[in-house]
Order: sequence, then C-alpha cells, then structure tokens
Amino acid sequence: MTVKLAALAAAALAVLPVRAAAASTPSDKLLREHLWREVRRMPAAERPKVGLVLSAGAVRGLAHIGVIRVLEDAGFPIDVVAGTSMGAVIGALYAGGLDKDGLWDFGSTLRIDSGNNMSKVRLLQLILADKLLSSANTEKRLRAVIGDVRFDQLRKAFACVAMDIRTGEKIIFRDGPVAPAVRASMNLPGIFQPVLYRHRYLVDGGVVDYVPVDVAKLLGAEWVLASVTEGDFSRTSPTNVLMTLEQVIDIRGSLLSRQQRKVADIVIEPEVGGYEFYQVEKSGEVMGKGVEAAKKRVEEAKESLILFSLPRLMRRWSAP
Amino acid sequence: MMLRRRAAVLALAVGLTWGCAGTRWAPRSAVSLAQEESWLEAGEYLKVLESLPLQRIDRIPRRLRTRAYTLLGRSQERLGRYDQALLTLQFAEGLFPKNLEILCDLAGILHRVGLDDRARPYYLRALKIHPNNAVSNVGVAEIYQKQGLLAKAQLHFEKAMLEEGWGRDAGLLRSYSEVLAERGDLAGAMKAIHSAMATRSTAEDRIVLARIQRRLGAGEDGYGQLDLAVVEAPERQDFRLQKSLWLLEDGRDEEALAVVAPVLAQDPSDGVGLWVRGSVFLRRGDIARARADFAAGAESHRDLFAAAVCRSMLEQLTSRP
Repeated sequence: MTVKLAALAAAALAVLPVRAAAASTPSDKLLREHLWREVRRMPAAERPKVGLVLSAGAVRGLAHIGVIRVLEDAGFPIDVVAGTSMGAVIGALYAGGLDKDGLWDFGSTLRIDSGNNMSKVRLLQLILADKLLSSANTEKRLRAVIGDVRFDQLRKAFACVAMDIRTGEKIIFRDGPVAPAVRASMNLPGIFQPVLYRHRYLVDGGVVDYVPVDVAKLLGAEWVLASVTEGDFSRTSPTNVLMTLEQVIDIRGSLLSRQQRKVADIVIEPEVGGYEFYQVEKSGEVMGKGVEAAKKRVEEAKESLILFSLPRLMRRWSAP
Repeated sequence: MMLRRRAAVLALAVGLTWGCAGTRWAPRSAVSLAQEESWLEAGEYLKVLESLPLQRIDRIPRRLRTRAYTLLGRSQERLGRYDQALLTLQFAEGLFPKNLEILCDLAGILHRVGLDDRARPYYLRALKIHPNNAVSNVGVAEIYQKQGLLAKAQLHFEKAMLEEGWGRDAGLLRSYSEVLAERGDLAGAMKAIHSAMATRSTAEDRIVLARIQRRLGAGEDGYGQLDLAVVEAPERQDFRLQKSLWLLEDGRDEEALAVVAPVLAQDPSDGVGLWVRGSVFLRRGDIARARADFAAGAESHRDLFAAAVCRSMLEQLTSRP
C-alpha cells in the first residue's frame, strides 16, 4: 500500500505542470500568414536585411542544420549569415548555396575525423607528447562541397569569427578565401594546432564570440535570428583533458554570449545541452532537436519580423 | 503412502486458494464493467468515477483492471479533469507498462493538452508493441506535423491509412493532405483532400482545398470553395476573414471591405476585421479612419498578434507629420 501511495504521489508530481498550450486564435493565424506573404513579396532592397547567426558548439552545432531547415520551409528571406566554430562551417555551406537537404546529408555523414587528422595514435601523441592535431581536413572538406570560393563569391553575405591566440583579439573574416577562415574559426585550442593565417595564430572563435550577433549586424543585418547551441555544463562532470577544455570554452562562451543574446531579435535554443562535443554518431538526433526547437518558435519569429517590417510595408501600401 | 500424501497436499493447496479467492473477490462471473461501459457511452462520467475509485479497481480481477483504469481515465478527461486522468493513467501505465490501450490513452491526453514532447514517447512505445496501431500512428503523425518533422508525419499517416477503415477517415485524410501541401506535393494534397471530401465534405475540408487551389494558381476556384465554406459554417468568422485577406492581397479592396463588414457588424472589436478595414482606408489615403480602426484594433484583445500589428501601425501613423 505504501508503495502504491508513493507511486501515486510520484505520478501526481509528474503531472503538476499540466495546462493547455497557449495558442493564437484562427483569425490571428490568418493575419500572420497574410502579412508573412506580404513580407516575402517585398523586394530585397525594400525589406529589412535578415541575419542568421549560428553559434559555436561542436557537434551540438549540427542542430543549426535543423533550424535552417525549418526557416527555409517557412520562407525566411535570409540575407546574411554569421557563424562561429561549427556555426561557421554550417554557415559557410549554407551561404555557399548548399540547400537544406544537402546540409542534412552533410550532417548525417559527418565523422569524428571529418575535419581533422584524428586517429588513436595521434590522440595518444596528443596526450603523451603534447603533439597537437591538425584541422587541415576542414578546409578540404569545405572545398569539396562548395568549391574553393572567396567570401564575395558566396550566395549570401557571410562572416565568421576566430581568435588570435597571441593577442586575444577577435578576428572577423569577411573577405578572402572562405576555407581557411572557417578552419580557423573551428580550430579548438588545445586539440588542434593554431592556424597560421594572415600573420596570425588563430584558434576557435568560440572563445571570444560564441554567438556572433554583432558580426551579423556588421554585415548589415537589421533583424537577427540566433541559433544557440550551448552545452549544459551544469549537468556534466568532465573526466578527461579534452572534455575539461571543451567545458571551459563552453562556460566562457556562454558568459560572453549573454549580451549578444539580448541584441538578437529571436533566439532559438535547441535542447542539445546534454550532447558531448564529440558525439557525431548522434548527428541525426541533434539535427532533429534543431527542427523541434525552431518549429516551436518559428511563428513567433515570423511575427517579430513582420512587426519589424511594418513601417516599410505601410510605405508600400500607402504609396500612390 | 507417497501418493496419498501428495493428494492431501494438493487438496490443501486447492482449498487454500479457493478460500483466499472467496474472501477477496466476488465470484468471477459476477464481476463485470458492463455498467461502467454503458455510463461512459451515455456520457454519465460522474457515475463512472463514483463506481470506480482507485481503491476498488485494486480489488477487481486483474483481467478487468486495465479496462477499469481506462474507463476511469476517459471519464476524468471528459469531465475536464486532465490532471486526475493523467494521474490515473500514469499509475496504470506503471502497473501495466505494455498495455496498448493505457499507453494510447495516456499519450492521447498528453497530446490533447499540448504536452506533445511527453506524449510522443508513449505513442512510440505503443508502436513498438504494435507497429500498425492506427491510433498511435495518427497521434505521433499529428505531433510530428506540429513539430515540423513532415516526412515522419507523412510516413505515420500513411501507415495508419493502411489499417482497415482508417484510409477512409476524413479527418485523417485532411491532416494528411495538409502535410503533403506543406511538403510541396500539391497534387498529392489535392488527391487526399478530394478523398476526404468524397466520404464527408465539411467546411474545414473546403478551406484546405481552397488553399491548395490558390497555391496552384486557381484563385477563383479557391474563392468558390471559401464561399461554400461560409455558407456551410456561417458562424465561422475566420472563413470570412480569410476571404477578405485574400481579396486585400489581390488588390480587390472594395470587395474585401464588403466581406469584412458582417464580421465587424457582429463583433465591432474583432482585431483582424478592424485591421482589414483600416488597411483599406490606409490604401485609399483616408488616414483619419484608418487611424480610428487601428486604435480600436490595438485596444481589443491586447495580447493577440492583431492588436500588436494595429498598435504598430497606429504608432507609425501618429508619428507621421
């Protein structure tokens, strides 16, 4: 009997937060659909410049692919993309013209050594002899997908962030060849050799700008949607050097991103905090989390962009 | 000697079992849930609740217990006592974790109250037990549809439709049509909605058909279906508003004004209706009347999107010289 009472109490606790989900009225939905079509019909030069910001987050960052999928399906007119680390990789591919299915394939086929020269021997060398790995394969992989392109050849304006490890400066790449810049942006310090590029020693931009909303604004974005894939460091206890390092980067990134989040008009946060940075075998799951999170907020994002665009829409409507 | 001892032990065991059963339960044939079943069917849910408190379910024969929990849960849900229904079914699920009916009912309530993230695992567990279970396939498909996982939604709708009778379910066919339309398969969507309408045509079906027709460029056919929907469901003001918005989009401002007039006559504070009328005035250059409509729209149901739009437009007009 006691056991049953305990079970009842547990069940009661489990259902406490039950309430019907808030929903807009059918008429409200119609108005949103109508105004959304109006926003999409505006010539690019007239409507607000829309920015998409993709945060750092290693494998967790693959959730950006799911977010992009939902935004594409909804018809978001994305003009500029800014990314850091994995966000830079996904952003470069997207800005380079890879469609939602191509991105999904890219995420699904990713392996732990896709962008580097990782092997058991090299991992041992890293741990025992401090010999850092190389992330040169990131460049190769990018070139294989979008070609050896420069920033100005991409279909959408794009920028990514890295850090100069000798000066601590945030380096924003927005011109020149794309591949080395993206490689530098996702070059985890302590694991990969710093990339020597343009007379600088570059490491992962997540250390200085985890959610580069400011970079999207620099590219001219007026309305910004940020996809943030932070780790839930409160739930994990690092058990080795690499995990500890990654966690430190995540914590610092998370603290730094507080201000950036406030500047974004909409923040989408896929529930990927529990995934470790190396769990590429869970890429499908992670991308699915991106879809789920984006779907939950996509209507709100539409409303936000509509309200932002209203002054310009009104000019169109009241024009003689 | 040995044989006699065994017979005595057996007789004792049988006697004890019979005795215990006699003290706990009524004779097997006397226990039935027919009365509760009929109450549920007749909508007398309170009687089911009175007849089946959890303590009593605990004492009825095991073969009837799962059904008893289901009857109780369903009655509680239909009385709007969602928390109690969930409590009952979660408790039952703990006792009978592989019972399809309990899993489906539990998932169903969670789904209906909007807790889709919690409903989905139960539906998926039911599908592991019975992959063709139509209720679970439809439930999980609806959740996937809501969450934007359209390929998965389509797959589960199609699985459900393979089950006897479900392929002709008009509601299912309409949802399936919406998924196909969202995925850009307008021909498939059209076929599905026509199948739905072949069995039972509702105003909702006509709206889905009208949207597909409009996307296919058959705008006038779309308007035709909308008109029929308005006739079939005159109480649905959102159908009229849909038409007025399409007319506005097509630049047929005067017609939009005419369509929205009865909506505002019935409810002068309808936010979308006020917005449509204000927008027509704005296009005409009649700023004073546009401002009045946006001001009224901004004040009605302030938490709705229509009010936010009216507020924003009013601010713009007010800040103009």
